[in-house]
Amino acid sequence: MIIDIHGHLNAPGSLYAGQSMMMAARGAHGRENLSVSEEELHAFAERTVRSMDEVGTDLQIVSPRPFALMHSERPAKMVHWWAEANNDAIARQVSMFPARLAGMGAMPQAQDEDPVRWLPELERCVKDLGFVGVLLNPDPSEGQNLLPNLGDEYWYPVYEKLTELGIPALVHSTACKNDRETYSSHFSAEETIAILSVLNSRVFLDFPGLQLIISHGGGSVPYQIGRWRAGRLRQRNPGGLPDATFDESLRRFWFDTCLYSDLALELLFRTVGAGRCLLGTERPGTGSVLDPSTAA
Amino acid sequence: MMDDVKYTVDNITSLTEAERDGIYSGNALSLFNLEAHIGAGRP
Repeated sequence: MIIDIHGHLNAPGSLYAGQSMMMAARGAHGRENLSVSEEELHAFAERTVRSMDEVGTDLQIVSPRPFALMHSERPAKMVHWWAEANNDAIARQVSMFPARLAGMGAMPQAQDEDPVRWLPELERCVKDLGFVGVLLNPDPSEGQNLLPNLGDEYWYPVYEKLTELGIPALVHSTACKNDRETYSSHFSAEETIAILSVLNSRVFLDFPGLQLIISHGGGSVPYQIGRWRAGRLRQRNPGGLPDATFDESLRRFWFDTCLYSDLALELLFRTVGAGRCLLGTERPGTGSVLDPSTAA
Repeated sequence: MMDDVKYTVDNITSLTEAERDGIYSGNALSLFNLEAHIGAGRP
């Protein structure tokens, strides 16, 4: 069986047009534009399944398109409405193809809100929609450097709820308002920051059941591991951190295979161990771009 | 190739078959509760 844990919602343009209208009005006209017809959703779910069939994937775990989640927009109610609309669209597509698609939700991680305000939607995703995981954006301010990293107790309400619900989170940033980066380069930077901030904190000691998957093969960490091994060895006073090597600590995370290069994948497997890696394709998306060196 | 991650993993010779099976499904089945989907049966 082939399970792809990293796919994103394939939805009609009408959903994103609705998002655009909602943003133009800053939510003043409500959320009515965010509806999508059953026929359109079914057609796009079929496209996803066809894309899976092209590469032999049996089951794909589908989450919202991260770069479009707009966590830093105001007012916060728009962030909630948009997350709910995405989660509902995924749930409807999963119900159309339950043997081929599983749901992974998005929390409405509005940057101005206490994280406890995000948790009712997380509960709805798991208890009402039957989702098996959730995206966790480590930077709701989307490149503006306004919120603490994942090692901070700011995140503890989310970790408590994830542990209580018994679901893993896929660490995946969203958009980026910092002009020095694209959203895609911000993904890599935030994955690196996520790993290092958690491993330099008490998070895994305080939440031993917490399961975090790092997207896109763990950012730059596998490639730069020599620096981080040295850093761990230089820590004379780890301040309550686990008495473990950097490599041992790193294997507390899970990693997906969205790397698109044989050398990068081999480095990931050798560095973190194949036992911590999960097939991810981001297909359709980056993972369906034809390789000119192999395309017929 | 970038448009077929599984094909690329298939061709990494340093992996054992057990490791490859883990990457493709075993590790996911240990992490996610996918019973509802596996039980749904593939058409």
